[in-house]
Amino acid sequence: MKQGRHICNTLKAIRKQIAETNDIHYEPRECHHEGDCAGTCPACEAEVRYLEGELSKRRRLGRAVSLVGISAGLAALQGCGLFRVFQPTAGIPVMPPEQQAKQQLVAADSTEEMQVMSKPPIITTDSIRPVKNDEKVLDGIVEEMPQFPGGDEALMEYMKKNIRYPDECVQGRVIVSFTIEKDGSISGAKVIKSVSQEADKEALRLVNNMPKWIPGKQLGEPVRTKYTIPVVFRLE
Amino acid sequence: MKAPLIAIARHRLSVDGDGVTTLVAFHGCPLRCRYCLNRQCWEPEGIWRWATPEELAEELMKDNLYFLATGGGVCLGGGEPLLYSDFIVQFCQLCPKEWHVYLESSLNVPTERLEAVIPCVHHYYIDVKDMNPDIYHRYTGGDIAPLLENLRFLADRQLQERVTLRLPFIPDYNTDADRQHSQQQLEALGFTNFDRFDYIVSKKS
Repeated sequence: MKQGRHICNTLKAIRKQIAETNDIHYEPRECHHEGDCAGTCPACEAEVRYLEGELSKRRRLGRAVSLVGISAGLAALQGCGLFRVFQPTAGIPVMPPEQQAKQQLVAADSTEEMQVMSKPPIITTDSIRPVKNDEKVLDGIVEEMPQFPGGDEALMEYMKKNIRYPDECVQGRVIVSFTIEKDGSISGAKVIKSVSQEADKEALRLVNNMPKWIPGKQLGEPVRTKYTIPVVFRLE
Repeated sequence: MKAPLIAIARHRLSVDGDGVTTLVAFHGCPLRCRYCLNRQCWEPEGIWRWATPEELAEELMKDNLYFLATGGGVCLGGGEPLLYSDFIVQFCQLCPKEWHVYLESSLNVPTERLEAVIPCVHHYYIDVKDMNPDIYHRYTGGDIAPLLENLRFLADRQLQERVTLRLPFIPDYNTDADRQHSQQQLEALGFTNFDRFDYIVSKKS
């Protein structure tokens, strides 16, 4: 699975950084696996054990070992909202593999199957990011924030009415970033935190099909504003 | 001493805190939230396995390199992890001191259980739900009193900066105004970190 591969690549980058920092010869084994990836595998685990062995040798020889915090930025930069179950099966948060099939059948108090999607707050920063055409996209709080027509409740209603829950049993947070143009149209939607291919695709579809927003304003003038909607797909 | 678990999820990237973390989800919860995501945590057959603190620490040590290199560690969730505060204390004593320990809790437990883990926990994620006692009871089935007492306990010890409070908008249970009111009450206690998000509930087509 794509997210497993993403985790695998991130962990590999961390291993490389540990090796380079401590002058350990380390060539990650080339992975030819084409099926589902759980983010780790016996080969990856063996590489971790190799690095641990090399670090132990260096300690025994009295050599300094650098480890704490050397990859602090890496996981943050590459962080994703994947909720991965105990290895090696993936897909549903905090549930042992043997119970995954059951999760799909779990309903709320009623007999109806429900889906719960959570929309955490908008992520903004106060930086200004230049774009190619020299129009600035305000990546943060503007005097008048852009608004979905009808407000947040209408946005929720839009999501509720239009969401097509992926067939796969998946839960987690998809974060979609996009720009609200001066005319309220949506552009540049992209997933910046992924859950699964299907969930990401659905999140993008929802964002791209949104009606025009009321654009953000600065000094009374419409401005292009970057907006981020983190969403969590949850099954009940 | 053994604790029942519903799952261990490895290699979570900046999901439960900084860096690479492993989520340890405990079985058992004093609440019965209407939209509970992990119902197996209170269903008798939901127990996946039992583990001693030693077994758990040993298992998590597999990712020690990742935890140390990224400033990550372990997130204790569930279910309600504070039902096993003695276990947590023992477990944390076995963990390398560089690991960060995150706790996800409803705080709906006797204060002694919270007090016991204070020296071990770096950051708390508290599922407040709503500060209105009636709404809280209607949604969780529980009494809000232990949560309030424990929030005051944390505030009295000036631990607010190490706490993130989750305030969901819960369709059919609270409103945005309720949530705002909850936040104001919590701000009055000195809390500043809030995670506001919305549950969107719909029938699956």
